Amino acid sequence: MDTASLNALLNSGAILPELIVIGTLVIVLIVDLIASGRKSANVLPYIAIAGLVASTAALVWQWTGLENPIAFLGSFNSDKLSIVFRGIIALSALFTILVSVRYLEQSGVVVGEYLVILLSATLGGMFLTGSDEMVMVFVALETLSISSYLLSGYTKRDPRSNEAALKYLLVGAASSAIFLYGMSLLYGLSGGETSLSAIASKITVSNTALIISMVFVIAGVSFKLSAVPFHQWTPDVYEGSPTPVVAFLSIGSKVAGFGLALRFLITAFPLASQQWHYVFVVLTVLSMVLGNVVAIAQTSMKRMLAYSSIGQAGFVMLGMAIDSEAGYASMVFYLILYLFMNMGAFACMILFASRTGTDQISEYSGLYQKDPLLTLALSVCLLSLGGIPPLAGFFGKLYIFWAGWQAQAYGLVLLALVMSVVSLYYYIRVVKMMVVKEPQEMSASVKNYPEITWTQVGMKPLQAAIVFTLIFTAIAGIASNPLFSLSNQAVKETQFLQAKAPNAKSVAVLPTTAQ
Amino acid sequence: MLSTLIWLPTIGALAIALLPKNQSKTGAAIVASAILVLNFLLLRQFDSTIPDFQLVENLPWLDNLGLNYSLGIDGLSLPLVVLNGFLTWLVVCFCDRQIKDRSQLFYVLMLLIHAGVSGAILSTNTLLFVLFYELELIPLYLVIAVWGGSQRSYAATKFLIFTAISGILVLVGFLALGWLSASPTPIFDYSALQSLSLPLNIQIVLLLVLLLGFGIKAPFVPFHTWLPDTYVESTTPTVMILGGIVAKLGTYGIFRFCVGLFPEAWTLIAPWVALWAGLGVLYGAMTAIAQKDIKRMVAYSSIGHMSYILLAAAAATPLSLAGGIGQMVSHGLVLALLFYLVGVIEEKVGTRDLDVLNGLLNPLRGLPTTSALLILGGMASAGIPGLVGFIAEFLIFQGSYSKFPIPTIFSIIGTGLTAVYFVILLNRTCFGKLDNATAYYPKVSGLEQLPAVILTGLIIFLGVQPVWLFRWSEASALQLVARMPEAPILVAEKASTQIDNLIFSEKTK
Repeated sequence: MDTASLNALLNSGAILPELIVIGTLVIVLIVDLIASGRKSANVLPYIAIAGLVASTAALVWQWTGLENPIAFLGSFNSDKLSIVFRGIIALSALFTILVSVRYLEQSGVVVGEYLVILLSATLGGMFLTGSDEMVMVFVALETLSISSYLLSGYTKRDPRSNEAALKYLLVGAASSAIFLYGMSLLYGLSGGETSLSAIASKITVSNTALIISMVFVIAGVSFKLSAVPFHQWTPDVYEGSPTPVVAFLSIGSKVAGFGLALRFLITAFPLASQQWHYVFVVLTVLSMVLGNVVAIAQTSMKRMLAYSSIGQAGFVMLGMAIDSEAGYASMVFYLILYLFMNMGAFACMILFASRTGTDQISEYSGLYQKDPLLTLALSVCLLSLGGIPPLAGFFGKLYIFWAGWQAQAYGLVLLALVMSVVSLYYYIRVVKMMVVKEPQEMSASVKNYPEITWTQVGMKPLQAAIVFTLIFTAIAGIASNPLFSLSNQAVKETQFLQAKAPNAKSVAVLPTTAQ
Repeated sequence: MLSTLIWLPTIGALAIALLPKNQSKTGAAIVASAILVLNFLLLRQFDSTIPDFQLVENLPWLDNLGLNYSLGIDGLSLPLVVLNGFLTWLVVCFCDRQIKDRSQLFYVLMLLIHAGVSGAILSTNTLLFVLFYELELIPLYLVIAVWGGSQRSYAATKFLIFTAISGILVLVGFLALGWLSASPTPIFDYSALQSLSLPLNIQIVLLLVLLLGFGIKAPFVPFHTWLPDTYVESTTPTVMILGGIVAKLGTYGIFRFCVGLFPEAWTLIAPWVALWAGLGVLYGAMTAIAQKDIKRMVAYSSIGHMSYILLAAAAATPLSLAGGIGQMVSHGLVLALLFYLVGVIEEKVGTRDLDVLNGLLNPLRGLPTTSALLILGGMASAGIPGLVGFIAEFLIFQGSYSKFPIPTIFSIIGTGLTAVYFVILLNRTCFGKLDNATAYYPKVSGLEQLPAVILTGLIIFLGVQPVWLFRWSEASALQLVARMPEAPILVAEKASTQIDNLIFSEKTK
């Protein structure tokens, strides 16, 4: 094999965004070692942000500029779907850094390592959504997971953070083991193939072993998606972990999970397609019901958002469970919107906690008087999560429901609609706390609310994140045509989704009842 | 033109949010007055001989979803649009005395609600309708929850849940309809949906879903339980808007979508709907008789009066439909008047209890003008000739009797009972003697009486000149009826002259 063809097979241009992230990571590490203390803390986040921006720009270039998406002898696939997912992950990391600066400053922890771990988690997530081969999948998954464990236990003086990290580690390691076992079964069944598409072509009969391995793979994936009943870690880990980390876990990590789930299940289990869709229907129903119903009873914002993120994952899984092109497109579309809505909610929560030191929902009461911007931004993000027009979330949900309806998943759509009313109830409870309460009903934290200044360290990036997510959440729904076509194109021009098209229900089929 | 009706209040709301706090009232009054002027222009531009949508605007928006920004106005929507503009103007300019704190937020929300209602009434795309229909939810929730009585939080949550469920049912109905009619992309455009022919059993299912959704909003018995709580706990301007125009979205939805899109299925279930309406009228009247709180009484009266509109829709004759549209406007005006007066009484006297109120008609120490207007409003509500309520109800009864005699008789009995509880109300509040120990009520100033006087003037004017109320919607009502399976066009044409004659004879009477 000569160098030229080896280069073509490696096709390392496909991982240019990841290379940029790695480069950034190394630079952050080195600068942190050389420059000491305060000076590095001030400059490091911006290096990381610049790196992520460059990485996103490289992804934008890849959207049109990449001739051959297959890289590294078939183990990495940079198709349009993975580009979208990698973009969401990179952006979620970017926003996470923006909202972290203030938090790190206040909790007095080291900035350098935090950024390095966060960037490597991002790296793991980005590789995970594009990996087309089992070893690669596992390595990427573990890169993401181990970094996540480290991040959730980062504020080590806080016992709750320690507990969260331990819990996350134990559950996560067990789920990785299960996932690994599922993959080993696949490896055996296919006679020693590790590439996902080769596995599919080698396995020609659907038998119990295939189903078992599918179930094990789903168990591993569902842990990342925090789909009920693999969700138990979520509320505790969200509550214990540093808030910016939770923002990353609820978006970046979840999106990576969705990317993995789509690629792995569709490519490796064409024979068990019906079965895994069925399992996903069950997971969807459970996640929507449990996530939304239990969220009503929460008193802490973080826990509420944890359950809400379980419920939201349920809505996204609905797009996946219905097995149609529009379903996958609606899922991608919703994930893009979810990035901004959820990040906005977390950014507001971090700002509130940094000013008052609490995240109890009852402490938000009367906030509109002291901080109108925060009230507006948090209300818009929460209402958007609840699906109120004309905010982004409404259009995202509308598209999912519409796709579900056209795939004739009537029951699922009806349940999702009912659950979105339920979710509205707990989202609006917070809005009510902030907006409706009279001046005399103000909570103690709001009474002692500090003077609003944006000059402290880390406030400017936080403000930028809040304003950006606020504007995006308010506008993206009304002007969602570009995002629509982006997500449709991602699904249409992705090979593995199209390869299964004959099995999928065609978009234009009239339901039989109409005749 | 139509876009301005939606976007002017929206932009106005944003502008008021940015204005200094003490100028928000002026800003809101300017925006509301501009909307009123626009409404007059709209009335001039509107050609009432065309039954179809006029002043149509169509912009592609989200093609993937079939959601287009398409607006249009016809005889069905015009009266409600104007009513919306008028009530908002009235509320924002004259009825906001109770809004002492956080008035800026109040004006912003009011204008947003106005924009949402206008948008819903004007949209000719079903998804766009749902969007606007849901859009009002949060501003209304906040308006109810921030200002009002002691139980307002409970009332607002109840309203939120009921309305959200209503929105979901409507969305489900439209999604199903759009998708069942897919060829190859789903249809959400109103005119295109009208030309569909679906199997009858599917039509009935969809129709029931939509009817339930709109029935919660209107509301009709037994989905009305949010109404008494919400109306009673809301402050006067809120309840004027909520009862006066927002609830009309429910009946408008029934006219536009249930009757307009499923004529065959509608004819099939119409007898049951008529019976439902008749019982609703009776229920509203009976429960109103039992109330001890005047606001609650008026709230229950609203349930009864909305049921007339349901009866009109069920009968679907040209007369009854014209009467139904008239009743929406007339009920909007009368309800706004009654709630305003009740609000004034509560403000001045400090109670709404029928057992405590007494002798308010006393010229010196009572509230004579308010009481006199209350008597007039009660009479208008009960259907006394010469006032707008009578014309609308009479047209409904006249149009429905030939089709559904029994429910119509129920409704006529209901009108009688309406008179009963209004007489009870008037007797206990206006007549009798003042309690010497407590009767030191503040005076009602001229400005405070102005909204009631304007409303009363309008009610009397439309009562003696009903052509001004009915001439807009005649053509559209006829077109709706012409789509009914058993109605040949000839009947419709004959009926048109019948309406004119009737209204004319009313006038000369």
